[in-house]
Amino acid sequence: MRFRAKTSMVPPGEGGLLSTPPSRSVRSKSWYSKRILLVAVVLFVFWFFKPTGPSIQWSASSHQYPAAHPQGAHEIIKTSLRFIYPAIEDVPALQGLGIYTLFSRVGADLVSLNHFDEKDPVEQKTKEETQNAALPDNKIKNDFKNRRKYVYDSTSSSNSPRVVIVSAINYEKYKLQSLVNLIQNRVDYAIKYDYGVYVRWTQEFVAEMNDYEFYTDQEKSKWARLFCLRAAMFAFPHAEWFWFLDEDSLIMNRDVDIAEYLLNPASLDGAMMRSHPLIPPTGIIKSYESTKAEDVELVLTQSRQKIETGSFVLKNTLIAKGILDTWLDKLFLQYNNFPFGPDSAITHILQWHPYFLSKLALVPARMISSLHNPLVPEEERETDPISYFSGDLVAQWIECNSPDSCESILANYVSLLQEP
Amino acid sequence: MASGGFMLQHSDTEKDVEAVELAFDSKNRGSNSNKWKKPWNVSSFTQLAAPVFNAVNSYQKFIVVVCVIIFISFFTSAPVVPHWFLPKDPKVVIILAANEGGGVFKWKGPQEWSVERSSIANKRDYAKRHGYGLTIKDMTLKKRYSHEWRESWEKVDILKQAMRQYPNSEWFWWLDLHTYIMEPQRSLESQFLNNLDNATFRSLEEFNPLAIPEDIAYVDYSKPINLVITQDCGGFNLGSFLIRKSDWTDLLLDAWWDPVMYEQMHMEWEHKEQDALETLYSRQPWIRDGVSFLPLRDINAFPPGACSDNADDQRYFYQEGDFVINMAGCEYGRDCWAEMEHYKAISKRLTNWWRFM
Repeated sequence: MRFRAKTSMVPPGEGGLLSTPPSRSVRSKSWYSKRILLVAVVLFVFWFFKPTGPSIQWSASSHQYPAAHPQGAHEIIKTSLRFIYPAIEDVPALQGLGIYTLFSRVGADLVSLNHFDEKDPVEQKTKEETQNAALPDNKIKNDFKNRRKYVYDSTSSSNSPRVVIVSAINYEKYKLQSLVNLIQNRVDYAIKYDYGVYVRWTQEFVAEMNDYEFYTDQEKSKWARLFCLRAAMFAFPHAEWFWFLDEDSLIMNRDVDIAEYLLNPASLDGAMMRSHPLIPPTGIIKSYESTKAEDVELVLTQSRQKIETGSFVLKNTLIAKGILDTWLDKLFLQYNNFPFGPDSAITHILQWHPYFLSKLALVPARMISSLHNPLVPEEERETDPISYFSGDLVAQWIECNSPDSCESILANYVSLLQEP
Repeated sequence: MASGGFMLQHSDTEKDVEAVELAFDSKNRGSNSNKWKKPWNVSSFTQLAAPVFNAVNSYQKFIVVVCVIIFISFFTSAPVVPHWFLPKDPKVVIILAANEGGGVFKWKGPQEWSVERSSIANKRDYAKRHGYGLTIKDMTLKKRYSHEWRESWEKVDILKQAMRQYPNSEWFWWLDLHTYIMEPQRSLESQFLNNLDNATFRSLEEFNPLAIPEDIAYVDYSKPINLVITQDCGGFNLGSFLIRKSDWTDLLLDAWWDPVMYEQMHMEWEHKEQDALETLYSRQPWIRDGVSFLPLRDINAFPPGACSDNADDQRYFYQEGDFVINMAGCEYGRDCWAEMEHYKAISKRLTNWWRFM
């Protein structure tokens, strides 16, 4: 409007177009196009940000979510040692203290003493140092509660062990020297192949089980295996496989590398028992015929009657964690009709859930869990699918029912190992 | 539109057939009138065609093979053969659950037909506009679910079925029948799908109506988001949610219903699969690794009738400009048809020409 007004203000007597100075007409033309441009830009901005549409949300963008933390603790302690195992020399002191002083009850739940940690890790450290200096028992307690914070310091699979051997050991079941032998056995094997070791005391899982006495019950104590394995998966985030090996077992043949022998897809493909009943010998649900070795997340073995979890292997993937988390669910843990604890639970899960079953490989028991059986004659070496014979990778005595008998079987195998 | 047994769709196709016939008639009439205006030049046609016929005669086998390959590439998805013209799977597929709880026990009245028709047309238009897939699934009561008391878990089977139907699609958006897309001009990508990490909340600290423990061990929030859900006043709401095709999803869909869990919890799981998911979420870290929350009003706004105990809480209820409305629970003592018509009218009023820019 202003532009028009300006042109009309030019008096007609001054000679129309020719006499108007050229600079002036150029200026008003550019002025006009500038206006159009301005309107276009405004329209574009309007269209681009759509003020009539949903309001733009920038608020959540900078939000930081908390980092993953172990169960029963909020801090982690990084270690560069691939062998994470508890201080065996503390066992007499731990037994002296008793299990009731190592945990606390908050409401209905048993909690680790980490529950009372200071928020600030530095403050907590000074607090623990003062406590430890005051009383030697405090040091034992603090070390015990801090075990769950240890995490192997790795940034990728290149600086992480490929396989981690996981064990949960009940320190009241074996004598001090036997505990040393059990852990040493796993460490020796791991050293040879650059593997990792993750050992925890069964007693440490009192909080997870919410039961001070759970480890005195043979079937209930088996659940500690799964909690221990879950903790190991957190402690070695870049490992490829986790091999859970029960306390009542020794690795007898150090020349066999489990990765080459069982876990490489080619080996696993040959070892898998396909179309094999989950509950031997006549179970209706069978392992799949067509499972590919690359897809396997869980490797299990069977005794003559059922699936066993004394020695099994789990891959380190989100799916494997999902399988383990499902298996660990409280509704399975507290279910009354599972006579064999986690063994029954995984059998149930595999029978009802086809996707879980498609991730399973059943392998012959003697590959990773040969059972102790002194009565079987040497002639049956080729035909017996379960019992231990010299040369097998692992010897297990999961059926032993008194500390003394377990101790003597262990001593027997340790002496076999020490023979030249 | 795969599932049969829909009177509605039947009537639609009838209309289509009529329309096609009409079109055919008019074409014929048109060609009749032009019949003698442009006659074929017969001699030049034979001259041109002769070498072609000769070539066909001398390379019969070769031409048969070429034709077969072309046929396969046009009309099938067989491997090895290139498929230039086969439509690609859409990135997002909308799954619309119809006939929920229906079947022989419940017959539909005219208002229910009307609600269903409006809801389907709404999603069909939306899917067409943004190039999404749409699959309508029949949720009538079936005996194979009732003998295991898992009617609600039929959802899981339908999700699996849809994922098989669209093997290359990434996201599947579940919508109950009583939902209405109020702002059809907005795509899911521009809403949140291209910016999931910032547009959604991975943890419960923002909004936690059930007081589920906010923090459990081992949860890694850096993992990809596979399930996008909303929460209403009563906890998780699965009337409108998105799930991504992945291994995680396969495992969840398999783990969701378990007889041992159900046996112990069926008295408490009033909302069946929703409560089961809450239970799994509350204690299994791998579930939290894949789940993310949107504010209810982003894809699942409620009318005043739902969540009526929290009537003054702005987070639940539809306000003009919200994307989707879910008339949740309208079949229990409210008038679904009236609500549907009400929101349809609002949507129509809001969809003015300047909003298409």
